Parts: sequence; structure tokens; C-alpha cells
Amino acid sequence: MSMLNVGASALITAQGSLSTTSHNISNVNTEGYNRQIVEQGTRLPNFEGGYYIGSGVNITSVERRFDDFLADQVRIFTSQEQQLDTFSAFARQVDDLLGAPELSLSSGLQGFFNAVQDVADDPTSIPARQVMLTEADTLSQRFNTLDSQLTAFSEQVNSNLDTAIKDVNVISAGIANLNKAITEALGGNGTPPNDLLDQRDRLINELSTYLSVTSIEQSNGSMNIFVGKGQGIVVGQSAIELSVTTDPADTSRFEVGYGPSNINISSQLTGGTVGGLLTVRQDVIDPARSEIDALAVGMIDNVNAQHTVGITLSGNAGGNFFEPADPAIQGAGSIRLAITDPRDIAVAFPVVSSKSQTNTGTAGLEINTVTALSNPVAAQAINSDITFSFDSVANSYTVSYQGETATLPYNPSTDSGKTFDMSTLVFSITPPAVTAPTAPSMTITLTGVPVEADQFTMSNSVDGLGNFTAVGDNRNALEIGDLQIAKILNGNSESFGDSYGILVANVATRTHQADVNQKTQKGLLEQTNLRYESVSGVNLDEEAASLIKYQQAYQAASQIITVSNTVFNSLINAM
Amino acid sequence: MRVSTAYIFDQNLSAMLNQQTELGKTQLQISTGKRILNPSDDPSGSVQMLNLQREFNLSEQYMTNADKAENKQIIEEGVLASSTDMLQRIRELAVQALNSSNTQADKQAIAAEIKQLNEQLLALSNTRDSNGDYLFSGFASNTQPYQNLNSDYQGDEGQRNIQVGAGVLVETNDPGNQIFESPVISTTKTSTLAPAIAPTLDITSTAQLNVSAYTGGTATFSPVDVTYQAGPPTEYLIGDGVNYPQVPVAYTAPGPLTVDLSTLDPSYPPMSIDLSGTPIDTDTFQITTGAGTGQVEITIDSGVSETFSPITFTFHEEIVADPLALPVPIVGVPAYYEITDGTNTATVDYIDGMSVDLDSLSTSFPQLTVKLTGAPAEGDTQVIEKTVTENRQTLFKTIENFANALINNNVGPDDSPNNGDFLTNISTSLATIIDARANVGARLNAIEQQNQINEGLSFTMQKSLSEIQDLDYAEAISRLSLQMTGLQAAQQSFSKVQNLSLFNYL
Repeated sequence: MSMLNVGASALITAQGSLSTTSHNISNVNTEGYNRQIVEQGTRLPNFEGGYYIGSGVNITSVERRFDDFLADQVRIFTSQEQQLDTFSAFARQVDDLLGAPELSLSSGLQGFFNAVQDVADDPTSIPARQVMLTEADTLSQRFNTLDSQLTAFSEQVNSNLDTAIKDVNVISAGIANLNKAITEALGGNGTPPNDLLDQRDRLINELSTYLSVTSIEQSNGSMNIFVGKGQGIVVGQSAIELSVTTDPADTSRFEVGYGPSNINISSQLTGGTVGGLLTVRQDVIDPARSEIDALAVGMIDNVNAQHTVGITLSGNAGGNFFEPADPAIQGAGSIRLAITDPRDIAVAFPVVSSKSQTNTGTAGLEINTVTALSNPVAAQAINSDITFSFDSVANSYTVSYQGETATLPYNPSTDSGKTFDMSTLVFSITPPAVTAPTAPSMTITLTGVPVEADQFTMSNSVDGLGNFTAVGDNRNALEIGDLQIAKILNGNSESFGDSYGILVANVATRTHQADVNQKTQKGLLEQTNLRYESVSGVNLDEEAASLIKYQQAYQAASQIITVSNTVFNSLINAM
Repeated sequence: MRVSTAYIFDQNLSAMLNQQTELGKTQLQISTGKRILNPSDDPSGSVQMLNLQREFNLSEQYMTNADKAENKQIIEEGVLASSTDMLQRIRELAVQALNSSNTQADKQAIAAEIKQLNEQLLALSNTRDSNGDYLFSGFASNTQPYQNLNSDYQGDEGQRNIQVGAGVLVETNDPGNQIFESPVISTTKTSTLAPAIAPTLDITSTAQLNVSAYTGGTATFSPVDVTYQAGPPTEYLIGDGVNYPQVPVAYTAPGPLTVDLSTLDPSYPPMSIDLSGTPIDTDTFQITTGAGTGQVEITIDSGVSETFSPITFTFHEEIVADPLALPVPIVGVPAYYEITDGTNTATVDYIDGMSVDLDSLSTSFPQLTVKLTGAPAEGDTQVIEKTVTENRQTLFKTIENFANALINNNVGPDDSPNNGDFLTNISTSLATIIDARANVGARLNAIEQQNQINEGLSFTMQKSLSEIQDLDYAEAISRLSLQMTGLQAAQQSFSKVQNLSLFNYL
């Protein structure tokens, strides 16, 4: 009789083992499945009065092969790898954008400044001026396109963040529900509900692709999940939602909010897609935008400053070449031409100098730069003619302007070729005047050896009646052309080319680094996965062997029943 | 260590995918010929590339600029060369014209040819370049520099600089007034008529009046009366109150006293008078415009280009001999001219119509022969000097003046600047143009040198660019075949390994 029981127990055990093995086999490709092992144990033996007779076998537990430490490692590396992957994807887009030849600011700037030089070679040529306008337009459009693309990336980051947060919330709700089910199952019969646990672990893994998470198991079986620096998103059976908020200083940036009061915890989150999005926005997209804006504003301000003091082909003051930057849209998005008529490009200087016919020395006077017009409406840089008369005794030029005089020291033997700033001249005050005339804001270069009473005269290019004949003057175009290599950005330390090169280098280096790091992390992840799988993964060959093993056990166990039956029949038939 | 079935599959799959990615990248490199596809492939190389491209582009632009500058200067050079030829021809014609063996008809013919060359020169000065810009009007490219032979320069003094290298600017034009204008040298004669002094009443006293400095040239003035008043106070009354305001000047015998008449009243002629001696009341002198009619005419001017210090001819009257004069007998001295150049002085006795060969009187005198005529008065002076105008004059006007003088036969030694002095002036104009041409030549040289530098730089940069960005095809293709082999191997081993399963044998 006990043989029947033993046989039955063996059958049941073998059945259970076969079921578990089949369960493993059927779940070979299930994500996050941890293989289950049947633990068999002997039943309590019967005391038969002097000796124990074994009473068979039963299944003590079905356990899942699961290593906490390895699972944690896998999650950590998953988060990191995913962060780098997301970062890399966006950084590469910015990198491609900056590397695209048809959008390259470098060739756009070169095209513009080449056109400026062509105008300087030929100031009266209308086609050359038209080309300059066209190139300026092309350059503006490149800036605009770069800006709109980077804005699009920013918006993409926002929308991806939104989706990710929603997914996180769904997962954390799922985990909370599983916590409840697991707690009940454990509380109910004390045995671990393996498949529920598997599900929960799978959800936590999925969560770690979005964020770095820390999981703490409670004594009642529920798992608390924390993100960032201790913000819990699953506590026991309830889930606390993350949300998308905006930074009050800049409502176009989405941030991650926590809990009912939407506290901004973006700065504390790392890892996963969310970490990758936040980092790439902060380290790549934002700096790229501000750099390109600075370039655009630098372009607008400097070209305009030089253009306003020039004279157009029609004899008017130049005014703005580019529209001033709109602070609301920022430089790169708003840069565009302010003039449409090629005749309105201010290529000439507002002042010309001439030397007296009676000069006998070898002196020369050249106008170097003009920084402001005294009367922009009349396109005049000075209020009246200025004469320079050399005093060989005092080695200085007597400068006469608006009835007053000033002294400009010039020693022919040491000062030839030097530049003098006329705005530092101090003029006399002859009563009834109470103030001296404003010194003109320009610089001049003096050369050569003048003789006593040698004279130079400086006069406006546009005379009092508005007539302008110096149409072949290209000095303002030369000045604008000089902006190409002048160090005028970033505190007068970088040229346009330098600045753009630094931007490209930064993005390229970051992208390259992210690539390299991601490969490293991937390698680490694969290694950890290997170790994890070696504990928890299903090996079909192993399961096939197990099937054979348990099948044989079942066959043998069914023989026990048969033999028990035969023994019983023998006994019955003997009566 | 055990491996799970899923892991085996995943691992092989990811290896194949990696191989495919690498292969794809190599393929892209080969089809574009570029080693760097994105800046992130080689960040420092990318930045170097940007810099090199920029420098290369700048060099190319400088060379374009240099071409334009060169073209402008070549046109200018051509104009200056033609101008030089024409001026030299005009000079030859002038030399021929000034040869006294020409008939009037010859001179007319030469004048006509000179005029025609002058018109051509004018046309040259108004040359326009291929854009229609005037070459010689400075910045005023749409303004014609010289409208006609007599007009002034209408352009400005701007010089257009073109950038032919980093920080290298070269001028590409010269204003017309620096090329076609120069000061004019001529020989001038200035006469001064010494005022005459007549006592209105015979003076018996020892009073004397001399004019000591007179700068009024040959201008006439109303007579100036100088009358002594014994007073008191003792004074000379200057002026008669009609033509000039009467001004008293205190005088104490026996003087001497010098009075600068222009300090008394601006209407007085510019002279100073010396008063001496002891006058008696109502002694009156009258100062009138000199009545001398002396003339100095240059008849032979053989030192055409010679400059000389101003020569002053001062006439002195004959002193009649008076052996009876007391206390010493007066010896007669004939009228003579005192000739001085500030260093040496010579005298010639004056005979109306005489010719004086100046360089025979003194070695420092110029090679001029003058004819002295007329009846000069005591103290009359003539100054002959070479003057240079302060302002510049266009060579067209100078030539036109000469041609017109030639037609009217006013090209004698006395007709400066339309005589031998014209040759001096033409030579000056020629020298100015030749200087300008030398400048243009220097600029063309500078442009050429800078072009060579730019070409060298261009080439170097292209080479460096190529080294950085171009693909090494040999290396890439061998890498491609290596990767293809690797991928093939991965694919084959995948299919083989996947077939291995215990279930196949159960």
C-alpha cells in the first residue's frame, strides 16, 4: 500500500518536474524569464518499529534561478549604456548638421567675404554688389536653417522626454500592482510566486532603460523603487508619478517634475533615455545654439557698425546692412538682410583727404578708420573741413576745425607710418564759444617728411548739397572684408572662423567620446548579461536532457504502480 | 560556464550587426573618397580641415584680387607709355620749331602737329577701363578728369587699394593731377620806376629828400608833397590834403630821419623817404612817378634750363663833370647800369640800344644776352629771374599755350615760358610721367611676387587638406575586403552553430 503512495508521489513529482522543464523550454525566448528549478525532497519516513521506511518524494519548491547582485549589475549597465546611446543619437544629429557641406557656416562666411572682396576690387560694378547681397542672403539662410534645426532637436528632446515620462509612469504603476499581488501571494501561502516575480523584474529592467533606479526589497516582498537622489516612484503598493514641467525662465524647455507638487528634479536624474536626453540637451544642443547665436549676433553687430559709417553709391549714409537682432528670436533665427538694392551697399568712406598743390615735402595723410558720422542724415562725418598745417619748429600739425585749433604732435623721424586717434585732440575755445568742437571720431595714418607749412585738407565725401562723386572709393568694403579674420568675438580673442571651428570641435569631440563610451558600456553590459544568463538563462540542450531524465523517472514511477498492482493482485488471487 | 540558448543567438547576431555597421562605414568612405564623413570621426582633423579650407580660400581670393589689380595697372602702364611717346615727339617738334631757321609756314605746320598730339594726350588722360570707370580721376570714377585743354582737374585724390595678400594692399590707380600737372618755370622781368623828386621851389637850404625803398613797381601814383614847417613845432607836412591826408612828421635838423609812408596812411605809395639837412620854412619837395622809359629785353637765351639767382639792373644817371665845383671838383661819370646777382656786381656804361652779354661780365651770371634801350631814370631797376609757379598747371595748357604762341611767332627769347623754357617744362612733365610709370612698374612687380607667394601657399594647403581629408584607397579597400571576409565568416558560423541542438537527436 505504501508502495502505491510512493509510486504516486514519484509520478506526481516527475509530472511536476516535466511541467517545469516544459515551462522552461516554452519560455526560452521570453524576455526576462528566469529558469525554474524543481527542488525535490524526500517525504517524511514512516517508523515501522525499529526502522524507517521511506515514503517517497515530493516537490519541496519550484525555485527560479535568480542572482540579485547580477540583476542589479545588469540594470546599472543598461541604464548607462542607454543614456550614452540616446546621447550619441542626438549628438550625432547635431554633428551631422554641422558637418553638412550645404549648411556649413564656414563656407557660407567664405562666400560672403569673397563677395565683399570682389566689391572692393570693383566698387562701381552693380553685378558684384548684387552677388554680395545674394551671398549675405545665403549666409543668413544658413544661420536660419541651423537655428530651426537645432530648435527642432530641442523640441524632439522635449517630446521624447514627455513620452519617456509617460512610459515610466505606466511601468511604475505596473510595478506597484505587482507589488500588491506578490505581497498577497507571499502572505497567502509563503511560496514565492515566480512568474509574478519575473514580471516585476522585467518591468524594473525596462524602467532602468529609462532612468537609473535603485530597488530595495521590503520584508513583505514588495520592491520600492527610487530614482535620482532618493525620490521614490514606487513605494509599497502605490506609485508616485513623474511629470513634465517647464522651467519658468525658459518655457520652451521641458523638465522632469516629481510628485503632486511637480518639483523639478531634472538635475538629479541620471541614466537611461531620460538621463541621455537631459545631458545631450545641456552639453550639446544648448551650447551649439548659443554659440551659433553669438556668431550671428557678432556678424550683425560688427558688419552693421562698419556699414553705418560708410557711404552708398547714391551718396547716403549706409545704415544697417543686417536687420538688428530680435532679442525674442535670438540672433541665428532672426538674421536677415536689411537692404535689397545693390546701390545701397555702403562701400565708400565718408571722408576724403587731399594735399595742397603747393606741398613740397614727402608727407602723406591717410584716413584709417571712421567710427561715427557727425550727421548721419546728411551722410557727413565732420561738420566742416579740417585742415592740417605742419609746424616744423614744433614738429606737430596744427589742426584747424570749426574755427578752433588743436595740436597733433608728429615727429617725422620717429612717427612716420604711425596711426593717430583724432578723437583725442583737444581743441581751443575762442569766446564767445563756450565749448570746444567735438573731435572727429576717426583715426589717421601720417607718413613721410613734411616741410614747414605743408597742408592737408580733410572734407566730407558728400558735400553740403548732397553731391557724391567718389563712387570708386572702396575703403569701407576693405574694412568690412577685414572682419573675416579680425579677432572680434568672445572678448576680442576669436575670429568667426575660430569660433565656428571651436563649436564644431566641441560637438565632434563629445559625439566621438559618447560613441567610444557607449561601445565600452555595451561591452560591459554584454559581459554582465553573459554572467546573468549563465545563472538564469534557459539552455535548450540542458532542458532536453532534463526532459529525458524526468521522462525516464516518470516511466520508472509508472512501473512502480504496475508492480504495486501486480503485488496486490497476487495477494488477492492467493486468497 | 553555462550559456543560455538565447545568449548564444544574441551574441552571434550582435557580432554580425557590428560587422555590417563597420562594413557600411567603409563602403561610404570608399564611395565618397573621404576619410572623414562626419566631424566626430576625427574632431581635431575636422577643425584642421576647416582652418586649411579657410586659408586656401583666402589665398585664392587674394589671387583673384591680384588679377584685377594687375589688369588695372597694365592699362595705366599702357596709357603712360603712350603719353611718354607723345611727349617726346612734342619735345622734338618744339626743338625743331625753336630753331630760328624755320619759316612762318614751317612753324604753322609744326604748331598744327603739336596741337593734334595734345588732343591725343587729353584723350589718353580720359581713358576708361573695361567697367567704364575713368582711370585717372581718383575715386570719382564716373567723372571725366579733364573736360578740355583748358579745364582744371575734376576728379579727386583717392587711390584705390586692393588686397593682394594677407595685410598686403597695393594701390591700383593714380589721380590725374599727380601725373598730368606740374609747376611751370618761366623767366620773369620785374621793373620798378624810381620815383622822381622835384623841389617845387628852388631850395637854397641844405635840405635833402631821398627815396630809400620803393616797392611800387611801375604803378603810377599821385604826387606826394613834403613841406617843411618851421613851426613851432618843427615838422615836415607830408601830403597835400587833396590826394593824401596831410600827416605831420616831427623833424629836428640836421636829421637824418627815415619815414615809412605806408605807416602814415595806407593810401600812400609804398616807399620810405630819408630826410636830412637843415631846411628852412616852406621848403617843399614833390615826389612823382618816375618817368624813366628804360627797357631790358632778352635777345639771346642760350642757357635754357639754367637756373640763376635773380639779376638786378639798376640805372645810374650821368654825373656831369664840373671842375669848378667847390670844395672838390666833380668828375664826370657817364650813365651806367649796375648789374648784380647778389654775389657779383658789374657795371656797363649805358648807350641806348646796346647789347650786353651777361656771362662775359661775370662767371656767376647766366648765359643771357640782353638789349638795353630807352631813357631810364636814376634808380630805375629791372629784375630778371626764373620763377616757378606755386600751383600746378596741366601739361595740356602748357602745350596749348606754346602751340598758340608758335602760330603767332611769339617764341622769342623774351617770350618765356613759350621759348626755350618750354623745353624745360616739357622735360618736367615727362619726368613726372616716367616716375609714375616706374611706380606702376614697382606695383606690378609687387603683385607678381605676392602672387607667387599666394600660389605657393595655396599649393601647400591643398596638399595638407588632401592628406587630412582624402581617403587612402589602398588601405580602405584592403580594409573592406577584410571586413567582408569577417562578415562572411560570422554569417557562416552563425548558421552552423544554430543547427546544433540536442532536440535534433531525440
